[in-house]
Amino acid sequence: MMNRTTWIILVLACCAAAGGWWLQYGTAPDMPTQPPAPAGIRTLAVGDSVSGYSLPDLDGTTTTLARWHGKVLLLNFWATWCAPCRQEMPMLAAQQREHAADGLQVVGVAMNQPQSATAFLQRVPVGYPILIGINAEPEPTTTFGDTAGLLPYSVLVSRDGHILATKLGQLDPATIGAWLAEAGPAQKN
Amino acid sequence: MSPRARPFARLLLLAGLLLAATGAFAQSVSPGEGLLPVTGAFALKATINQPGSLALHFDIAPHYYLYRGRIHTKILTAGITAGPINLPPGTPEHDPYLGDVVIYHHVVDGSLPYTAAGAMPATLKVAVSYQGCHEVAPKICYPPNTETFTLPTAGGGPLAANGRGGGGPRGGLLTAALGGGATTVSPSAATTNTTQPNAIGSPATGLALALLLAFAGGLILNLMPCVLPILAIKAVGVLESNTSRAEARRHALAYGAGVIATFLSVGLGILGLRGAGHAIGWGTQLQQPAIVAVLACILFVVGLSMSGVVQVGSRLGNVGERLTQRGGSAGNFFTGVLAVVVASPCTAPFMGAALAYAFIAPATHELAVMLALGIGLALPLVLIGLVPALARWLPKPGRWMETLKQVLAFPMYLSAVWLVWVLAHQRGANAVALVLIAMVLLAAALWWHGRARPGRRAGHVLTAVLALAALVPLAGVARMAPPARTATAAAGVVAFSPAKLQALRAAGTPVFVDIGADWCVTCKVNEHAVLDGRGFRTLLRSTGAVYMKGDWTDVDPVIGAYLASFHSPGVPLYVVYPRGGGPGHALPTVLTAPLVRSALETAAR
Repeated sequence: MMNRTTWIILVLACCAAAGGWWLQYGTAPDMPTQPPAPAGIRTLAVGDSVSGYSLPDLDGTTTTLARWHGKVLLLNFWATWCAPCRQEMPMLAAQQREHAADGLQVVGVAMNQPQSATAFLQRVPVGYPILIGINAEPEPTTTFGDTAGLLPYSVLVSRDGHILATKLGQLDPATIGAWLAEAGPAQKN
Repeated sequence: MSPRARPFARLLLLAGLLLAATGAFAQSVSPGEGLLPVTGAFALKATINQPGSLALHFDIAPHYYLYRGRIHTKILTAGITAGPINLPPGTPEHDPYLGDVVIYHHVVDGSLPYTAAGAMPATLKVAVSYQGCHEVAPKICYPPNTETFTLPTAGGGPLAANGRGGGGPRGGLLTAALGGGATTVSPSAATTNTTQPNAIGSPATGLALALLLAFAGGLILNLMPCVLPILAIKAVGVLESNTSRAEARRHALAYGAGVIATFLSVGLGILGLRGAGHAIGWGTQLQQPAIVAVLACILFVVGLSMSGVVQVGSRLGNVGERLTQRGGSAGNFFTGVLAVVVASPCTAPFMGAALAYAFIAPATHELAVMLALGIGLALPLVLIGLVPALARWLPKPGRWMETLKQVLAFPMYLSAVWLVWVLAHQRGANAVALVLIAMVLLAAALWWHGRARPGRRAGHVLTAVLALAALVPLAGVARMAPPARTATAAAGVVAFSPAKLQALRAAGTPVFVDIGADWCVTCKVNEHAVLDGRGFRTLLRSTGAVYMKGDWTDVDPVIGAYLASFHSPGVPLYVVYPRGGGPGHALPTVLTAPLVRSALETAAR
């Protein structure tokens, strides 16, 4: 026969298990986050519109992101001092060629002065447009949610100019494929 | 309080602490992509130990490196000039673009000589900038960071607080380094430095906290409904062997080794799969029908042995007959393995946070976290085996153990039923028939084993033949092709497809996306409690929302990619897209009717 002690242990164990179960399912897992942006600086999150955002290109001409309206825009933040960025850029250039027909538009945002960026691009031509982000205030990385300024950082923008996804670290063709699928085909109207 | 009741008070306290830790675990494993803040990756100290020379010391975290050529100093005090900076040789590395560069790992000790044109000012203000990267996944580089220091030129240790200044809008960590001989903090330093808490977390909280929380998480896994029955049997097993303390210790250690070895294999497996770029999540091993079938058979056999159909030696705690035949330690080892495998489906959401960390952390961190989880899960039983005092907390052995063992057989059968049902969804009625045949053959093998006389070779041969025959239908299950996927026919439910979702969002329709799997207990609970109810249907009608359902019971790269886009390591995943095509908003993994109502009503606005 089970004595009282045993029953108490069993009941306690069951209560603990039930409590654990409840806590386990009652709390949503936390997602990795960037540090908060400095006070007073508005950052863009997934879902926000970026159409009105503009940066100078290599020649200093101000370019608004709305220019690529209707395309799936992949903003890739990079800098010449960032080895992983330089590694992924030829891959991005290849993806741009491969998926141009699907409406993909890669746009690099250099966190360098135009001279350094141009010198690098002469050695490693990528073919896609480059904007200069270093002189913008607040820094475009911060504005697009990369508040720590870590590179490489990429932002996927839907055809109608809303942020669909962000990625810190190097991209790979599979992710770009999944992003294109997420952005969906062009509207037929 | 009576002496007898005291252990229970302690047990209660322990349980409370563990439960409290669960919440903490779920909330604070936010590894910030597993990356340290810049001042944690490259901890810089500037001191003047002897007048005329500024000492710079970098502590570089593992897997991070600094570029030698990107360490610069600038004296900000008028009247002081600095000579060239002295830096150690470092590691040469060829960079395809930058050419030959020198990088530093671990520690850098440099110095900057300085002189004054006239009288030496009392303090020296210097800006040090540096730039480095993280060299394992995620491979990223930090932007150039500048820290300013105000130091007494007379030397005698660091005086002023240092902090980041002059850089961009981001805040740095204020590391107040007030040394022994400090008198006053220079006013300029006090005013120019700003403190800002950094959400990525200080270096101390990076790995150490993750390990602590993983350990607490492992402890809590002991209380999970899938683990507790196994543990209870195991505890009885340890108790039975209590006659010999040495044997109890041996059993406990073997069990602990089994648990830890399994977690480490899972960790190594994740490393391998991460390298191969597979889309996996915790619990996805149940996407493989062969594994489901084998698990169902194991649970069935365990149940039979617990029901007393066959006496597997005298130990109650050993599951898996063939494994226990290999001796006590091997049996205990595999009980540990089984505890982890069987526990995986019901711990999935809980493990999510730890696994999210594991997937992005450096390889060594990932393995360390897995190890901590394993230690946590194994600890209670190992302690019972090692510390005789704890055994007092266990009830006295007696006939009740036989009753308990037989009672616990029924959850095993139910678990087997659940797995067979999962298999039915994965591969249909034929697979169910095959796995049931395997079960019958196993039952026959056990029955014959039970009545075979010891020493009769023929009896053992027949047992082995029957057991091996059970593998044939299981192999058949493994070879079965998935049945043609038919779109869910239930009224008002749309099968998940990214294109359809995009079209609905473009049309401005609110969408409720539900990604689940048959082997996901939480999904079933949610369906039963909320999603299958009439209230939910009414809610869909009143809000005009479309209910889109995705099934991850089988491997599906499209759904895998969708889960990954929400950083979800597994199912369930519920996403609500608002009217007007806005971005999706993920709901918690446990749904309640009010929660779903408010989410859908907000989305429909």
